[in-house]
Amino acid sequence: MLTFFRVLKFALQDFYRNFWLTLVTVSVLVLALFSVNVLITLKSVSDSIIDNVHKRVDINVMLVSDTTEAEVTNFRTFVSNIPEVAEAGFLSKDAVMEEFKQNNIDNPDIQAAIEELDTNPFNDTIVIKAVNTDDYDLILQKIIASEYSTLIDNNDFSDPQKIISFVQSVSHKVERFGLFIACLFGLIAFLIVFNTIRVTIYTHKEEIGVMRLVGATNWFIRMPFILASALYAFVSLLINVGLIYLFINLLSPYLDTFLADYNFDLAAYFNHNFWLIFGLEFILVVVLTVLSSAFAIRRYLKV
Amino acid sequence: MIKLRQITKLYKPNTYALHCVDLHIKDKEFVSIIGQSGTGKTTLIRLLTAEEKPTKGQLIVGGWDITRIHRRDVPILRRQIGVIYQDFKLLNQKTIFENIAFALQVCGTSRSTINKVVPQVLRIVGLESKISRYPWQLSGGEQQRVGIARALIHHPKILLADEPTGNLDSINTREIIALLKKINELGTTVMLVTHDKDVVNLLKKRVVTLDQGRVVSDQKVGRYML
Repeated sequence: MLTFFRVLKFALQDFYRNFWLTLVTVSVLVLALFSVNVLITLKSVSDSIIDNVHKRVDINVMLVSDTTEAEVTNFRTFVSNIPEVAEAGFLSKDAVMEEFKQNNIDNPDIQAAIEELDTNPFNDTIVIKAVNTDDYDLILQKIIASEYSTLIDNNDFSDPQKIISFVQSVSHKVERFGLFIACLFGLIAFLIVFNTIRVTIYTHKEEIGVMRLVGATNWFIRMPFILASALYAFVSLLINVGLIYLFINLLSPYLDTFLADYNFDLAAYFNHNFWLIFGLEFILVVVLTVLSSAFAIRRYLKV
Repeated sequence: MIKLRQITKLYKPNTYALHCVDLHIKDKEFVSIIGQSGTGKTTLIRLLTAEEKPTKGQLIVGGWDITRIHRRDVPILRRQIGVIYQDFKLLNQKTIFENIAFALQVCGTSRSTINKVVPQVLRIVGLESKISRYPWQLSGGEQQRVGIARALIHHPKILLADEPTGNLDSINTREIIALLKKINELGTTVMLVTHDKDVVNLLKKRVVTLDQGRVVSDQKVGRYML
């Protein structure tokens, strides 16, 4: 235990005596971690949007005007029995008209056009929600292939599907770019830590020589460098946690406005996943720095 | 105490630092190894401290065959061999006390033992009054005495001195040699590597002469003859 504390003391000395080296190393590690957290933020936001859009997607199958009540009931039963369908609701043509009016309440032209109409142009509609949004095509195909195809006037589900596709596409691109940036920073961090340990070994050349001379064990000579690199990881993580919460505070007002309809709280997301996110990041960054310093020690520290 | 059997050290491609060297140094003996530069004196020290391995032959230190020493055992060997150098190898940012204490700290010695032992060993080398000074505040002779104190801190059975007086004037040289003799009289085997003629002649001890990596002379009470 005494030896461990001495090793820790030497590691701390390495840490603060090489202040500028430490500063550069920690800064690069912070950048790497921050880019990972920005990636997590983007992922959580896009997931939330996609999830919400998924919940709102449905197919409105408008029935032909002379559809009887019995035919509507049979058709609903048929649709409900399709395994991919989660729910098959019914909207009367009056309800459809009312919904259309509500959706366009701010558009005086449309409101005026409706007032001009003598009859309701809408028909009864079956509102279908799928278990999985990818299945809408399949559901439609099943309906069209069925005996009830003659009841269908038209259907509309293309717009939400387009939104989902767009968000998914942007999200994938952002994820790939973010991953690339995180990997790039990771690589830079690896090289910087490697170089820092190399320079630290060089600046401690005399001390290491004396340690060897007086019979210090290999473990005792090498361990302070490993611990110093773990300290870089720890300090950079602490700074990163502070930075991320500052970032969330600055970003939240804009994000709240942008995602007003989606009920998404970034701070709550990070709070809820605090140990998972930062714990994993700590393990990752410790592995990265310790591996890097181990390589540098193996290469430059002869004991 | 030290046995070299047909020790050869070849530096590639074809430089022999030592060539088929046979040497036996007994317990509590004082031996001077002399020779001109590049005759293998320092290589011999490096082999004894396991900084390098011989190309051929067998090397026994205190009954321990270190020819095939495992890396993890090297620190144990080095604690049994004290070494002093021409350039002292002291850490300038540490005080005299800290320099010597450092040798104990890195080996896991407790603070109370360090506080007890360091002043004792400084008393042996006559520097107890300069315990809080830094190396750069001491003369060359005093710095070498600190080096000796540090080498003695683990109570080694062997003290290797690699040109210990190379950077010192004649007065300091005499003091250091007197100190080494005193340490030898107290029971430590001393191997002095030097090319200082006056030192060797002053000692009137065993002298082994190396030339081009070979032992060319081994006198029981020798003089410098190169």
